[in-house]
Amino acid sequence: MIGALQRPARSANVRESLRTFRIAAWLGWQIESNWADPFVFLSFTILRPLATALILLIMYQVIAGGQRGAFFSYLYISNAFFVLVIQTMSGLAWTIFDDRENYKMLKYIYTSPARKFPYLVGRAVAKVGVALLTTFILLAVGAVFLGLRLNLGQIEWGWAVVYFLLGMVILSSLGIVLAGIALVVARHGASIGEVTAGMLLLFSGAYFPPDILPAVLKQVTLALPVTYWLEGMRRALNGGILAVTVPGSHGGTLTSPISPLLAGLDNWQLLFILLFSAAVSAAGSLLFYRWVEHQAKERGMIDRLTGY
Amino acid sequence: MSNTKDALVDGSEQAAAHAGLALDEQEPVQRDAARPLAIKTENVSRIYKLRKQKNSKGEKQKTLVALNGVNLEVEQGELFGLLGPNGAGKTTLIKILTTLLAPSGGTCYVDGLDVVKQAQEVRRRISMVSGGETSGYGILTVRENLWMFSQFYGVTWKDANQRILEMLRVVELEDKINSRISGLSTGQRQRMNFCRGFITDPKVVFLDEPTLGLDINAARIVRRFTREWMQQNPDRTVLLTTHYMAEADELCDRIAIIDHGTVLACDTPANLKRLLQKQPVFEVHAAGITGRNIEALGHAPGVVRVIGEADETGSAYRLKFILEAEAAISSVVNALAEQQGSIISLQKNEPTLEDVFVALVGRSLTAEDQSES
Amino acid sequence: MQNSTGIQLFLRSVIARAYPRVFGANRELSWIFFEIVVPLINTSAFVFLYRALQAPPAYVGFVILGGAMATYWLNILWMMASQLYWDKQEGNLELYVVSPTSLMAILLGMGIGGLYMSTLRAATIAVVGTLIFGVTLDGSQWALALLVFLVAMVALYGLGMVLSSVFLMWGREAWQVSLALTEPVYFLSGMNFPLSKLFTTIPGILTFFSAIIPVSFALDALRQLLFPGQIVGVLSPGIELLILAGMGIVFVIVAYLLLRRMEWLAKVEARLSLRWQ
Repeated sequence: MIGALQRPARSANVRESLRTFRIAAWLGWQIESNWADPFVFLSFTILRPLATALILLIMYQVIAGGQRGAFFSYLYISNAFFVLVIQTMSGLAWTIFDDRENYKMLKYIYTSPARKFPYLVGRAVAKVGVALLTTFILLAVGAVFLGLRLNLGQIEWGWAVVYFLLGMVILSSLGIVLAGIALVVARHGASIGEVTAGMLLLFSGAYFPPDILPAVLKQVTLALPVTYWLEGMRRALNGGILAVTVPGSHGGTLTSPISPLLAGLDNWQLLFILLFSAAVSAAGSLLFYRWVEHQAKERGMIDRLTGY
Repeated sequence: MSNTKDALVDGSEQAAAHAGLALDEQEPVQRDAARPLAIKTENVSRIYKLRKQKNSKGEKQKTLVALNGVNLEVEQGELFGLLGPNGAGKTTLIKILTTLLAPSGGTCYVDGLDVVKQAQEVRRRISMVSGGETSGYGILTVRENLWMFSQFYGVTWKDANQRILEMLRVVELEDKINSRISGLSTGQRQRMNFCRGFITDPKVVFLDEPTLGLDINAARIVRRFTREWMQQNPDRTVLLTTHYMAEADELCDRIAIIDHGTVLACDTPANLKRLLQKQPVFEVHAAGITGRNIEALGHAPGVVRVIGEADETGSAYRLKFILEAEAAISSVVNALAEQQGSIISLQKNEPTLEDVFVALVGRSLTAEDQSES
Repeated sequence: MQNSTGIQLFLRSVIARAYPRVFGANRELSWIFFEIVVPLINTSAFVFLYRALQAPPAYVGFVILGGAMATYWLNILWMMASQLYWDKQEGNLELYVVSPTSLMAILLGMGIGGLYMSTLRAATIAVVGTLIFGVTLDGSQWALALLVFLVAMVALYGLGMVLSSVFLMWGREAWQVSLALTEPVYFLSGMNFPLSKLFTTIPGILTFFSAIIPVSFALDALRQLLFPGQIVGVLSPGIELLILAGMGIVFVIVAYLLLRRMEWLAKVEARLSLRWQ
């Protein structure tokens, strides 16, 4: 009589997950970086986000001239943190595509005892780490060279850390959802992360306050956790809600928030929204991934090559 | 072993029949001086520069010599085999001959054309099929993929469609003609790629392990087609690399054995085996010995080479001795007794191509595959 | 069996390589979402940014035109220049090289197939964007605008061939360079703002790089023709058309020479079949 297999202890599962994560993170870092020396690698990494920041600067400048008002801070800070949105989401989805179509290793990962989620997250860690560095560099370049009003003394560090951590949970969860979708679409799905980030550009209030959108689109924006995350980061770095000075109707000046819609929420309300979003997105993404993974196995997508 | 021997003898007879000679009467293929050689290499070498690599001893390695002064002549109408272990230089040589790789030294000619200076002309005359290929576009059907590649050779649409249907029937893949490549199994994909090599009507075909990944039936179909194609087109040439001794023995008019970039021997299968008839081969099934004993047995007087592998039980070894002379078997028996071994069985074998390989290279392909796994 | 040679072989190869792009792409319809719907949304983000900045209405048209042109640039980078990298990974590049056709024919086929896909996408973005955001175009010089567009495509795809030849030698560096050339080219070509504004802001050397990207003068000329009087161009559309024509000739010749050279170098350094670099 064959004895039943014993389920491994919980501590063994945790150790195995950590080991898979560690190896996947090492692998992800090698793939990201070992094609060039560190200086070339860093230069290439910062080039794209810096170019985007410059595009926004020129767009701002052609209309507003040389002044760097609150709106510029709104735009620049959002863009700096949006790099994390792009890289976190695309990093996870890209792993699926890269391992399946490029290195043709996905089937071996799937047939091994390696934990899939720790593997996915580990592979994406290098991209996210580099994105974080890029964000800091962009903020520094903005403050030193481009006229961004960023005062270290006025940053609300506590809120900044809390918002940041919750944001990373949310973004990682979104990334896992996209990784699942990447499992079942053809090769052009490789850009699913970046493409979704592009959509979020419109719907997250990254480049403009959601107030100017048509009503339906405004509702979409307010339903997305990334909207609140970006608002939280902007507030934390600015030391408060970003506002512009406008002429008053009876002479004098008035201070008006750039986004009155979002200004209606205080920090605690933002925190609650982000906490709730993080919990729901984390749970939902894991469930979704398991379901779509099952679909991928049914359709034989784990090792399918779809080039043209 | 005797079943293998029978198969090899049968295969050899087929090869002999293809060449129009009885097995005992096989002689080296006589050259028709009026016809240009299909393939000729003159002192070809290829050296790879290595980046940040170390050898097994941890020493930095700057270069790797993949080919070292290879000289070969392949006649038109020959089915020429290239045998060798992994890393011997077979694929490197094929890449040079198919204009994918530049030689570091020497010259190569295909159909009388220099592969470096007249690459474009060479390409019109050749095709290449590699084993284990993943080429093709998954989103296209089998027909579309084959048609697309036929266009790169200038085949008319009518000819292409006709040839595609014919070839797919040959490899028994016609029911997949409108299936997407992404849905094919490895073996089906390999059969499709095999078809690609022939629909362009090439003068010289390079087959680099074409039966890799194919089941027995599919491999048999591929070998049969290759033979028939050669018979129907006596001015066409095939250069075949393979790991399967039986395949080489069955198909090839001549075989070159290559190792570490050097050709060790080049002759008909029969003549190569005849070399070893001067060196008898004995197979001994012995118990009570270990791996270290085998090394010691190799030093017994009259032993040219010995290789061994554990049998199914794991407690005994099957040893193959290549001896200088038949009389040396007595020293083998004595050496075994000294090592506290006991003989379960002992028989003399007709030399096989594998025996030739072992004699020249010093190890079998099976052992190499096992050690690599 | 008599196989074609010369120009017939070239044309057959072009058609054959364009085939997967034109017909194969329709079989996985998800590309319509990824490459039409989503870029439209992406372009809309910049439209709303200009609206938030209270920019003149013509700027919305500039962004939509820029978004449409961006599709061609992305096609050049990812479906042409990098495609040889993918082909190398999958063993198709070896088969191309071993065949008697030229790599120029293969690349041209890729380009034509890609042009078809990109035009579908660009036209959708342009038409839908124009309708949704109420952009008014001046069609009085449509013939010249069409000519500018066609000549710009020759120049752009010629540049794509130049990049492809470089990627013959490279492995992952090629991939990284493609990534690095996305947003910087958007910036240098004035994808979202008038080129003249960029030229007054950036240093001279960057102006040079901007000028040699076909998208720059193509966009500038098209904007002047379709939004006359609402933009200050760098040069007149006629001169920019001539520059683009010159670029096209130069890039195609350079691509031809570079492909031969790079193919030779790749053969010497054994990079044609080297995978997972």
